[in-house]
Amino acid sequence: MVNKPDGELLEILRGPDQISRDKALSEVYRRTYSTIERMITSNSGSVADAEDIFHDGLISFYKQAQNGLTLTCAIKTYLFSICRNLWLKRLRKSGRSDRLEDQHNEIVELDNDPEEFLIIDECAGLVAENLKNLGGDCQKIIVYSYFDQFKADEIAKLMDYATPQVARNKKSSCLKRFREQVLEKGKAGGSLRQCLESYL
Amino acid sequence: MAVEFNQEIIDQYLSKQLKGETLDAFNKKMSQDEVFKKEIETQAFIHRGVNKFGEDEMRAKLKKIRAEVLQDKSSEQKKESAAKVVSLGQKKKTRPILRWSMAAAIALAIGASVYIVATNQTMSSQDLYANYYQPYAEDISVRNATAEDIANQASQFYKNKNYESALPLFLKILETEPDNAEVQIATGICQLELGRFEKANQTFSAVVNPLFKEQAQWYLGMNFLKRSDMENAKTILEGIKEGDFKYEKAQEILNKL
Repeated sequence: MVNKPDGELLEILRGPDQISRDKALSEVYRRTYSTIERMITSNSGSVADAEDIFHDGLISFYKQAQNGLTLTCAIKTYLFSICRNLWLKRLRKSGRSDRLEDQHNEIVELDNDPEEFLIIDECAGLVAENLKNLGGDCQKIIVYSYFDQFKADEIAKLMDYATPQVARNKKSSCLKRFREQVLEKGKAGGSLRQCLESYL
Repeated sequence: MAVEFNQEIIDQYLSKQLKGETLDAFNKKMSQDEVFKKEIETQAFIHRGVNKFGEDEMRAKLKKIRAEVLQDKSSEQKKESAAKVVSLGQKKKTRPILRWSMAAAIALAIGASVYIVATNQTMSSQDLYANYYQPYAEDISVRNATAEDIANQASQFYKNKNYESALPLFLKILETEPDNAEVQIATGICQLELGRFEKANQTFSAVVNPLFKEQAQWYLGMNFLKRSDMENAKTILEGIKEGDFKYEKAQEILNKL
C-alpha cells in the first residue's frame, strides 16, 4: 500500500474488497493527516478540530469517489482542499474568521460543496438508529447498496450469493422490510413522527 | 403518457448520479405525479438515514485507524528514539523516558572507532561518551514554508545518519531562522558527529530558546566529553540542575569522572 500511486488507491477505495479498502484508507490517512492538522491548528483550530474536519473530509471524499469522482490531482491535494473548505465554513459559521493563513499548500478548485456529501440532519440519525436495530445481513446489504453503492454482482460476492439476481432480490426485500419498520415506528409518535411529517 | 423509472434509475437519482435528459424527465414526473413524488421522498428519507448510518460506521473506523497511526508513530519514535525533546508548548515533565541501551549501541559505533587512545582518562571519557551520547532524533519543524522542503530533506539525511549531507542544509535554514532551536541542535549534532568540535561548541552555546537550552547544555557537555576536554565537560554537566533534561545522567557521568 505504501508505494501505491493515488489512482490505484482510489480504485481500491471504491472497490468491495474490505481488507484492501481499510488498508488504503489507512494509507491515505497517513499520507495526509499531518498537513491538515497543521492547516487547522495554525488557523485557530485545535487538534480535536483537525481530527473532526479530517474525518468529515475523508467521508466526503469517499462518497465522491463512490459517485465516480475523477481526480486531476493528488489525493492529498484534493483532500486538503476539501478540509480547507470545510474548516473555512466552520470558521465563518462561528463568526471567527473569513480567511485562512495559507502555508503554500497546493489547492485545487472543487466542483462540489464537500458538505453536500455529508448527512447532518437529525431525522437521518433517527433512521440510522433503526438500521442499527435491524442488524444482520439485511443491514449489511442496505449499507452496501446505499452508502457504498456496490453493484449487485459485488454484493453477491461479498455476501456469498450464487448470482447477482439473488442480491437484487435480497436488497429489495430488505429495503421493503426496513422501510415498513421505519414508517410503522413513525406512526407510533415521537421525533420520528415529526420527521416523517415534515419530510413527507 | 406514463413514464416509468425502474429501481436502478431511482437509486441513481437518490445518490445524485442521475444526469442530463433522464434527470430532466425524472424531475418532470416528480412535479406532475404526486404519488410518484411521495414514493421518491420516502425512499430519499430512508436513503439519507442509511447514509448517516454508513457515515457513523466510517467515523468509527477512522477513529480506529487514527489510534493505530498514533500508536505506530509513537513506537517508531521509541525505536529510533534518541533524546526526545519537549516540543514547544509542551510541559517539561511529560518527557518520555529514554532508551539507554539503544543509545549506547548507536554511540559505541561512533565513539569507539575513533578515540581509542592510550591514556586512561581518554578511554574513560570516550567510554562515558559512548554510553551516554545519542543523537537527537526529532522531526524538525520550521516556521518558514519555503524552508520546509529543505527541512524535510535535511531530516531525512539526518535520520539516515548522513550528517555530511544534512549539515549544509541545516545551516541554510539557520540563515533565515537563526534562532530556530531545533535546527540549532540538529546542526550542532551534525558538527559533533563530523568531529567539528569548535563549530559544535559555538552552535550549542548559541541556543537561547529556554525550552531547548537544557538539551543544548547536555549536548555541549557531550561535545566536550568526546574531545576529552574533561574540565569543560565537568563544568557544563555540573550546570545541569535537578529536574533539567538528563540531570540524572549528568550526575552519573560526574560520579564516574
